[in-house]
Amino acid sequence: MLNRTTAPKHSPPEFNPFPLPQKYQLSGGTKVYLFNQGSQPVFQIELIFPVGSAIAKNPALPALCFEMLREGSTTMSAEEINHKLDFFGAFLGLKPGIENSFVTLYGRSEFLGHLIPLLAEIVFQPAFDEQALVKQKKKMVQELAIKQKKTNYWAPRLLRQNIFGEGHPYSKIISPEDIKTVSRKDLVEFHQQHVFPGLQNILLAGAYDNNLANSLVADSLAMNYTYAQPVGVSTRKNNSFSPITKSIEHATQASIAIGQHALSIRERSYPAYAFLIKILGGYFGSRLMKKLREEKGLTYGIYAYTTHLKNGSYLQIAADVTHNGVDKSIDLILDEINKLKHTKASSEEIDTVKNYLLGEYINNSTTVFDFADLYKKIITQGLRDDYYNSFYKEISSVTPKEVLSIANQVFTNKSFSIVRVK
Amino acid sequence: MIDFHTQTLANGLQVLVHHDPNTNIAVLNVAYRVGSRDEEEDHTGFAHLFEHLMFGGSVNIPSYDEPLQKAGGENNAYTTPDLTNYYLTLPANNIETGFWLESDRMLGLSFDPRVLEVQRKVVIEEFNQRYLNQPYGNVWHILRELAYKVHPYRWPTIGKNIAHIENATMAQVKAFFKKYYVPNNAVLVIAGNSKPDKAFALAEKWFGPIPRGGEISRDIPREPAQQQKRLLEVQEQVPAHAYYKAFHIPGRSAAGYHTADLLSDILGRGKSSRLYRQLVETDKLFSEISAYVTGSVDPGLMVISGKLTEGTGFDRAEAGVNKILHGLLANGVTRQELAKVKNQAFSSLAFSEVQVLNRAMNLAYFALLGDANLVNLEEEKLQAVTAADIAAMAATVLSENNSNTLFYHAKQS
Repeated sequence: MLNRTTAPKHSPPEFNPFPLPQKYQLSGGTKVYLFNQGSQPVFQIELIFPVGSAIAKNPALPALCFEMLREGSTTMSAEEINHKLDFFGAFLGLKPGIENSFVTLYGRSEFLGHLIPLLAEIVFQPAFDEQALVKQKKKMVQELAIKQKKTNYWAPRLLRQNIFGEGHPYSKIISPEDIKTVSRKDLVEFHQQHVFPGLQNILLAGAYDNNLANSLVADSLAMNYTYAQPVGVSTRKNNSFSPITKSIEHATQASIAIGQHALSIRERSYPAYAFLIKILGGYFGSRLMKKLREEKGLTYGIYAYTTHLKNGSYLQIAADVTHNGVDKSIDLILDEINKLKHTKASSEEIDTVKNYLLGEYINNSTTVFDFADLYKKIITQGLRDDYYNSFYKEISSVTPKEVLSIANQVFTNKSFSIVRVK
Repeated sequence: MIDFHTQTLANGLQVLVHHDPNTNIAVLNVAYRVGSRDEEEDHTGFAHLFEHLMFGGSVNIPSYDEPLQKAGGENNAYTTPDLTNYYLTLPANNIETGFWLESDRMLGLSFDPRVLEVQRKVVIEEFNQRYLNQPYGNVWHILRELAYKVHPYRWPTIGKNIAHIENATMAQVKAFFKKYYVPNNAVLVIAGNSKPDKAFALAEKWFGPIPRGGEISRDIPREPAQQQKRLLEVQEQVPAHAYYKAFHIPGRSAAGYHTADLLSDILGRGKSSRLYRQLVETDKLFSEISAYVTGSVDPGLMVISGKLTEGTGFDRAEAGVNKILHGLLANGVTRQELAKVKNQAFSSLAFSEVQVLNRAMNLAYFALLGDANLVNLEEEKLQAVTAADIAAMAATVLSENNSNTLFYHAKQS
């Protein structure tokens, strides 16, 4: 008779060492990383620029500069570029960020020879057409207006601003005025100063002809990487926060965000800290999800996670809740944080989270594109190549005592910033 | 190309195995042939609410998530108008945990009244978060009701309104489970690093003893052919006017589906598409515009949707769209244009088969459609579409009498 009441035997997930890419440096200084495997004949190439809103005098400038790359080059109109991309079934992604910006091209490997030179042309010879800029600005203002109606657009941004303090490079929030005041001259200057000399890394993943890819990269993308990081980003820490409340007209739901400074990903005790945050709100079985969603039905979902920037890391706990559930939810969140400081987690819970974390890594490292994404974190965070190997080794030896001790170290009294948008 | 083996258990459960030795994970995907099209019009949103209840404990296992997390697994689920799909991934050596969990909830649920009460609240918050507290969040509620008059596609999977979710009873929950959550109404796909022999043996061991359910006769009303054009105007608190136009097209497994899909791509996929080039780039009437198909099992919709630029009125926007449609109807499509949209479609297909989880979902979907082999015929079917097919499809689909237009006005504040 089949026993359905006890779980079949399972073993701890087996950790497979993270595979490293083939690496080399182009003559101009750009680093190239190649992952080549898989059965689908497709590829993605990602260009990484260490520039973003933190260093721009106007936070809308990087966003507009990257978005405008689609709008025509010195030898091709926007229409020709779009037609070529679509004709080869390729997708172009432009992702300006706070400290790093990414240009990614996805396509079928048989068209590599057409697509890499096209990508180089798009990124390094933009026309920044005046009329296209007017149109792009209008579109961006309209998109921003839509976002600004959403409570969950504001909550995480106000939290970040509150944590780093107004005026800090990480605290910028784009306004319609920022977008409207960008001129063609600004774009040209930004491109010349930051993008043209700023191709720091190239990450190419997929199943493709290696020799062909290497020669295409060398022929089209060997720029001179001469970009000097601006210095002097403030490392100031704001440690006492006043609660922030913002109201949005006609919002049917409220968004809350709670956060504080976090341990840096480069610190020794980071794995134990990451473990703590996972228990609190990092997965579907987390304490916050169990309490606020599965027990109280206050929210559709609640998550806790950390963001790591070069000069500061922070923790964010965010959820969308009913208007009259706001204060109750905040109390419950603070209560769950408090419990982690006062009561040791059971070894059963610790084991569950360990296995979950390892399983999550295994699940998220199955394709060549997964490897590229994981390696991108190593590149942009300046981590060592054996980061994942040592992180998961640490994770597998975390104890309930360590989790309790790190909770007491980081969750000190009155150190939380609380944002309500409703 | 997705290789697979298939067997059907005595209780009617169809089992498919896709072996991929190059990964160290395994996927279990269980798709039930039930979605919002199976709902009664005064109990909408039920199939989706039920999906939430599937995580509230089964007959022998009080918690679904915890044992899976202990074995290093992750899971999720989604509901569409046509099906409800549950999937989990875990390290391949722990695959049996997945069989144990999935088979037990096919066998029976806890039917704990507290689970219903909490999930009812969670779903209401989901309704709020995704559909009410978002600019344009209610568009599909409005557009579906405009385009469908009889077929249950006239409401979205979240439900017509929150009251239906508030009124759901435990008796309905039990009846729904008994009717639809039976092996003969489901497809199980095992994919990843699990050999077919072992996977079939485990399927027999865990799912074989589940009793077959009653035969399900579906009596879903057919949407009659639309006889005249429809236009609706609404006003909402949004920053920009939005424009929508929906046409009825063939269902997912009907002969003309791929032709309709490529027709929508020619009109509005990407920045080189006809609508975008003319109406965004040249005429600047829209700040964005695209066209796509819903791809539902019963006859679906081709939708053109866009946001108007500031200062543009609906009359000019509508005239602009109609001009593009008339141009296509009058002159057909070029060979180069057709080659382009095929390349785009092949690219999407190739990327959709990179992840083993996606391959499992694709297999389950086509098996539910009636033939898992169809998953490997997609490229061939797209390749076979000719310019003449597109012209003929356009002549049928893009007629005024088949159109449902929505002017979604931004309220002046």
